[in-house]
Amino acid sequence: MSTQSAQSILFTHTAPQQAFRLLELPPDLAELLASDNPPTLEIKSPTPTTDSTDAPADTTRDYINLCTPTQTYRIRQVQSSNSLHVLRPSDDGAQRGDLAVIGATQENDEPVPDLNLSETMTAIAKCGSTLELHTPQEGFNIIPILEGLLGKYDSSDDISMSTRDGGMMVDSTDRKRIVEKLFADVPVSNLQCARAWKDICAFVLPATGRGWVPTARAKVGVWKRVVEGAVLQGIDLGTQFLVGDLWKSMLDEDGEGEWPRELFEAVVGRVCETGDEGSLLEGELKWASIDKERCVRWVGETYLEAAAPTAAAAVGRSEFLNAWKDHLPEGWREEATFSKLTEDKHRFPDPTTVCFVSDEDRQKLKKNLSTDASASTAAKKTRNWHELFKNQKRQKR
Amino acid sequence: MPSIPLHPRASNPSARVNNPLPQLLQTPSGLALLELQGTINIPSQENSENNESSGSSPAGPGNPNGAPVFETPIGKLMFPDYSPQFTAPDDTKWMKRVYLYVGRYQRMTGEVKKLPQPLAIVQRRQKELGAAADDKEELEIVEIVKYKIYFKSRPEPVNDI
Repeated sequence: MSTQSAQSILFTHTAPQQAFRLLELPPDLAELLASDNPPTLEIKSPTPTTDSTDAPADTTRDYINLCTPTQTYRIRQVQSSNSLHVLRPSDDGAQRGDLAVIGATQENDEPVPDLNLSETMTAIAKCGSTLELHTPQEGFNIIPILEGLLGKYDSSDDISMSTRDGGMMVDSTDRKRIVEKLFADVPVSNLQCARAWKDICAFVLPATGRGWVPTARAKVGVWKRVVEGAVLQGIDLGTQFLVGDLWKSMLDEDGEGEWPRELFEAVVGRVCETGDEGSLLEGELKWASIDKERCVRWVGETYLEAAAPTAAAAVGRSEFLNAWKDHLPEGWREEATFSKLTEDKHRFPDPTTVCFVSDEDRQKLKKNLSTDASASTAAKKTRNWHELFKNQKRQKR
Repeated sequence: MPSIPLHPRASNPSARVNNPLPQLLQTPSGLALLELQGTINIPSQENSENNESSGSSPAGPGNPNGAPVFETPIGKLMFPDYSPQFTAPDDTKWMKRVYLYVGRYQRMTGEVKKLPQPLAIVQRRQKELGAAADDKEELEIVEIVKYKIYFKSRPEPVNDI
């Protein structure tokens, strides 16, 4: 069969080459980018853990994430033995080398008629690797990172101490700016940051110019006060109520509160029906309605964390149940049962006691439990050798 | 660690040039992907610069460093079963055969393949003139490509055509 009649495109190589990276797009991301008004994505990496500034930042980064406004992907570089060239049509503006080498001209330097030189594709870049995106099964575990960026709030003494130091630079007293700056350092999408923020009841004290995370003790303290205040003011926590009224119930005769209002709102927000986390950065809460299930679980776990943070400090089970009931609005007392607690957030070190399992311990447990065998067979099946060898390395250690 | 923005669109879309590829492989920016086993070996930069010193070397447009742009002819690309006039848009038979002639006497046979996942071609966003040197890095997606021209076999010898 003759190929003479087919159209020939001159293929050239352009020097200098350009720098490109190729990024594999999972279907949902491809769809997002193809939409009419695609969002700007972010590439985030964790802040180096060492504070020494002389260490080059690049060596301490252990992963890089790509974030859409709502989702996070981990980026992995995959080498290939094949080379992928990026081509573009040539505009004929550049100088070309000797065309005779490819037979585009005849001996007398007349161009071969069927090769139209305006039809040229030129290789402008070569990529030996592509970037793959994946979502780690174990999640991103960003709460420790976020907590590391926040001040620990146990009582108002912490605030006065940190402001007395004078070492704190107050960049901005604008709540929104402070939160945005914090989220920039947490290597996941803003929505996931906002969820974690809400989860740990973090709050901003604009006067200090930074964010704070309350200790379990502080959270329990605030909550206890909320329940007491609600009783005094006759606010039914089981229905919708005005947050402002509840806040007033927490103040003493002089209008002074034991806790900052920001912390109070964070705690109330934590136990409320899940709304749109995106609204986190906007104004204050007005109306609230507490999600019973969420609230009961949160109160139990937070109280347990405050009272029995480790196995060594475990408390008696009935003692714990009674205290838990005392921290709930009257009508919800019967809700306090062990089955309401999240499975992996508590354990029973001996037959009569119960204690809290911290995030850190939970991560350790999870790692031990992960079945390496199934992971390696899955890796073999997908021919993903990267995964396979990663597991083997871990076993040796 | 500051986050690096990755813009979903290029800041200055490249000028439109007549695209000789089959319709399916054409993208708005004109960029396309070609995969080879092995690489294209090109004489080193010094060599091509020596060549150029003999002739005129107009600096091509779109070249940030102002270094001369030089195109080295490698061969010819051919879609033997494709014709812009007669191939129906939904006809995919032509995709099974692509030739890449390297020099005059070698030919590689390949095919056009749909990528399992689309690939975004990402580059560093060109800084605007007058932007501070320590301005933070920004990336942009120049193009999203869904097909590639794929040569998985080695070149075979052919007669001069």
